[in-house]
Amino acid sequence: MDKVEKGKDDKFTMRNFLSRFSKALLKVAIGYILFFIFSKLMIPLEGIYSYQTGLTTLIVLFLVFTFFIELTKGTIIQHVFSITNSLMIVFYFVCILDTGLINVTIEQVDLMVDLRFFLSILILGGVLSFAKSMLQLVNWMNEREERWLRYQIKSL
Amino acid sequence: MNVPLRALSWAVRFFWIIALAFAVTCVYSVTLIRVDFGEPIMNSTEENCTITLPIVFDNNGYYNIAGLNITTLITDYENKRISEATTYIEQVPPQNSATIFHNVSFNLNEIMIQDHYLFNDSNFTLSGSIQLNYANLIPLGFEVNTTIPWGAPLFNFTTGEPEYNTYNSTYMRVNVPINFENHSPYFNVSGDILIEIFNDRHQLLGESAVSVDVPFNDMWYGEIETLVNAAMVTERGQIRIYVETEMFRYGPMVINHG
Repeated sequence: MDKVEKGKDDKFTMRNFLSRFSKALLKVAIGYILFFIFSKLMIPLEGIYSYQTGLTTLIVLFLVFTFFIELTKGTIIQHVFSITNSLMIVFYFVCILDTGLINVTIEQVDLMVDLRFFLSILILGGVLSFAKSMLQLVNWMNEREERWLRYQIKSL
Repeated sequence: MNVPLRALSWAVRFFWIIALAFAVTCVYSVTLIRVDFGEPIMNSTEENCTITLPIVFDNNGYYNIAGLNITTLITDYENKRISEATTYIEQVPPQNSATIFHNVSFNLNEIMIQDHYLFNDSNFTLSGSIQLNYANLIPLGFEVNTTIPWGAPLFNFTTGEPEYNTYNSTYMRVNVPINFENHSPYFNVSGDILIEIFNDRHQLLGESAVSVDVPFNDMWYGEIETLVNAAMVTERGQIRIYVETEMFRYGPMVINHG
């Protein structure tokens, strides 16, 4: 109920916007730092597995979506971005599932790493995110209707 | 709807945090694993030869190594299986090390009965594979193919024309020149070379033996002297040569002369 009442205050004000903007930037910065650490850790595996190209695109898109989701919080656009984001994650992991079986040769040694099970878990995570986003959208529409109905009742 | 949704949101957040943390720590952990191969120990009996390869798995990572399976397969120049060995370790817990003794046994007699290996240098193919399940989630496999050189113990084994000389009125002295090289880095050719001399009626005229001890990469040259009954000597004949060592027996090598 608190959320419904709070929804009334989700007006676009400069203060509100700046707060959201800084929050969005902070989230993007944290995301970027995590990716940076991950890239550093992957340095020993460079040349073995060319994860970079696809993953960098995914991370960039993910950070862009995170930024806009935070910026458009409380609007339907937030949910559109959220759903697109989770679908993009699922799509990315489905696309790279085939490359999850890595076969590389390093100085006469054939190395095989099977990441398919791990990638399947990540796909499951993406689907879970998608379900959450859809439920959030349904909830948001429900709350909006509730607010409108309450407004109609009050005005009678 | 709000409470379950919040719970779901937190669950999703936790999921991604755990997945990310796992991915990062897993990659970092793999770099902490050390594998050291010790000096192989060779034990040979009359029939079997066992090579023990000590392997030290130092798992300094954060996750356990499960289902560690080491397999070696040795095949000959015709791709026939000579030996296959498997060592299985159920798990190597994190921050622990395990020393594995991988035994590869093969029957030396099976190799030695093949003339090819006695007289020709060759190569065996060793295919080694290590399979494991890292963090019970990521199957990993390593495969390596290498060749093991085989040196023929009787490389270039040749016999010259036997020389018949009069020894006394009853006997003749027969000298058979023989030479070969021991190319085997694994053992010395220590034993006897025996020869038997027959006439064209397949009667044994005489026999003799000479002891040899030829180390790796050495050439042996010698003349084996045999006294034969002069009355039984015919123009044509046969010489049978046997080689008997600690590691193998070969013979007869039949040489017709005259």
